Amino acid sequence: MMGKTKHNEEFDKLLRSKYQLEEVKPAAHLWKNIQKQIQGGPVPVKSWYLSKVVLIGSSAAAVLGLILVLFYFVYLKPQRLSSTVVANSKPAVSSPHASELKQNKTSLTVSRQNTHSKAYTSSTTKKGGTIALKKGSHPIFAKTLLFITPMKEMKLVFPLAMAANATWYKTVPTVIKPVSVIPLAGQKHVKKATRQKQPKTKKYYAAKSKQQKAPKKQKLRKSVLHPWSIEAFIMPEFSSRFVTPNPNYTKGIFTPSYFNSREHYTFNYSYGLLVDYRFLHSLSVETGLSYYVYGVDFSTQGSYLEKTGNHSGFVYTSSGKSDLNIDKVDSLDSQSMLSSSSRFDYLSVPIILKYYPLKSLYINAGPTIDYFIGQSNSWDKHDHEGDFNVESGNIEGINRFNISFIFGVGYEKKIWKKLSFSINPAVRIHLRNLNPNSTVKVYPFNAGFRVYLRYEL
Amino acid sequence: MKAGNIQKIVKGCVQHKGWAQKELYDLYAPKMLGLCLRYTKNKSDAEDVFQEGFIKIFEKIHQLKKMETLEWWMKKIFINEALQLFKQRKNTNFAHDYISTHLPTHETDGILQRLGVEEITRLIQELPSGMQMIVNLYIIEGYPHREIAELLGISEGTTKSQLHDARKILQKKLIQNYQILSE
Repeated sequence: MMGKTKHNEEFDKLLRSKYQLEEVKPAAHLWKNIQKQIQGGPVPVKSWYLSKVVLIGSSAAAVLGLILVLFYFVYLKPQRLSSTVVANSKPAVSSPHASELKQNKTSLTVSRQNTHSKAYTSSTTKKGGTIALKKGSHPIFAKTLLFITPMKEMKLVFPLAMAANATWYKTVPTVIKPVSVIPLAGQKHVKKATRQKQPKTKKYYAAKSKQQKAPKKQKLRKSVLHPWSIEAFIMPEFSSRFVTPNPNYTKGIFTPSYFNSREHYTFNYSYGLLVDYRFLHSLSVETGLSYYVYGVDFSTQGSYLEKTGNHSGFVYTSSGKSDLNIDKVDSLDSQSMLSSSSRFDYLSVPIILKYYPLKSLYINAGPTIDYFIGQSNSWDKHDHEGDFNVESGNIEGINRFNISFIFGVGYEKKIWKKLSFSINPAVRIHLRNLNPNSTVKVYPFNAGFRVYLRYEL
Repeated sequence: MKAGNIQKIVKGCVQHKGWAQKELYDLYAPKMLGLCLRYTKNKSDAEDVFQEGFIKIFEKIHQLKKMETLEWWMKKIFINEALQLFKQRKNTNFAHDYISTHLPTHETDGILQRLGVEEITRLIQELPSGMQMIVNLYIIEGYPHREIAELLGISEGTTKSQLHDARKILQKKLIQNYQILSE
């Protein structure tokens, strides 16, 4: 019997070896037939999401665009102080020319001219001391500087803001004094202030900053007159997922890293209509209805399988159910090539609070309640015949309600009368496991940018 | 062929580039046609399977996840096509008629060594269809009995006994063939 088995093995081995280099040259007409078929044949259906490279590229471009827009509006085009501020500015000082300022050896002066023929000057003395608002400082930094005015030790407060301001004006602001007001284009050059050699007192600058704040308040009060607005938004989102094993289903079959490493970043999106109520000049709340699509693409390239004798199984995640055809436990890594894609649709009600530290910049955060309305899943079933059959179906047990938390920062710009445009980079964290029946707990994490148009009512 | 080139070809195929499809065809066609001949009864059937297999490959190549498994994946598709043809024709012939119980098995190895691939392929083609499949799947491809049983829709015991019989038939045919050639 043993001899017989051994002979069979030898026979098989010999036969197998004969076919190791087996090659038969095909006739020329075969390729022509194939070519004819594939040229007129059906084009494979592309995945519903865009390619990863395009998405990453477009989001990078969007972020870069946002930075450029912010840079332009915030740094290159700072808002001119209103005429009221100029009128209220005391004492009146003369407007020295840049050449004059440069001649002053006790101070370092930089003059800058923008497209509105408006000069911003900045001067500092070499003696340290208190910090004060100065026309020429950018509003952002001016605000920061005002905030830190009472603090005498500069080193302790907002070094970053100081450094940024200093970088822009090529100077380190230690003591800043009001020096000049440059007229608008077409106006005559009016002497408003004169440069004083001695630094002003803290009291003086506090009073001045109060004067400058007053018109801003008036302006903000004006905006409260139209507290209601509507927003139409769209938010492309990239998705990643936090996955932890589900103790109810973890039987040593799959490891969390298995899922993390093999689930692809995917493209999701949401869009909807929101109502915004600005109840304070710097605070607003928005809510409404949006449609949110969460999708995930999943492919198995290997797995850790418990050696229990099971030679088949399936992957059951929120991504979809994928059957595993396992020939040998040890060779699963090279044998399994399954993929699945899922799309879950939700109706979302966000309740987002927006805080405007500056007129055009805001921070927003708040929960969204997502109601599960549908799903579409497809997966390749790599069957025993070596074929990739695309199957589809529903995943059981998806949570009806999910809660996500969104937070981000945004820039808003009035583009036409009551119409504003905003771009709002934000992240969305799911606070609830999508599918309690899954072998793992899945908490998607999305990052994207919301773009909206807001119309004041 | 370098892995990078294969990757480039596959990428081209995914994008339906004609040059890439031709490259892939030129690269694997001889090997795959040989496989098709083993799994079918004649050249005409083999060419049908071959064409269908390549069309399927070009249609589904975007599903390929790992470049290093390309050949294995392609083979699977051709084998599947051959199995489909086998099932369509209901050639589930697992006859035992040919079996002779006493064969000088030790002689067959020597004969097998001397025979060319074409001759052996012809002998395999002459086997009953079911046995032909089992010989190919078990001996050449290395599939386990359990999987072959599932593929062919028969019991594992049947595949084992069929394989045993197939070996006997092949050995008998080898001797017959050798005798004819010697004469």
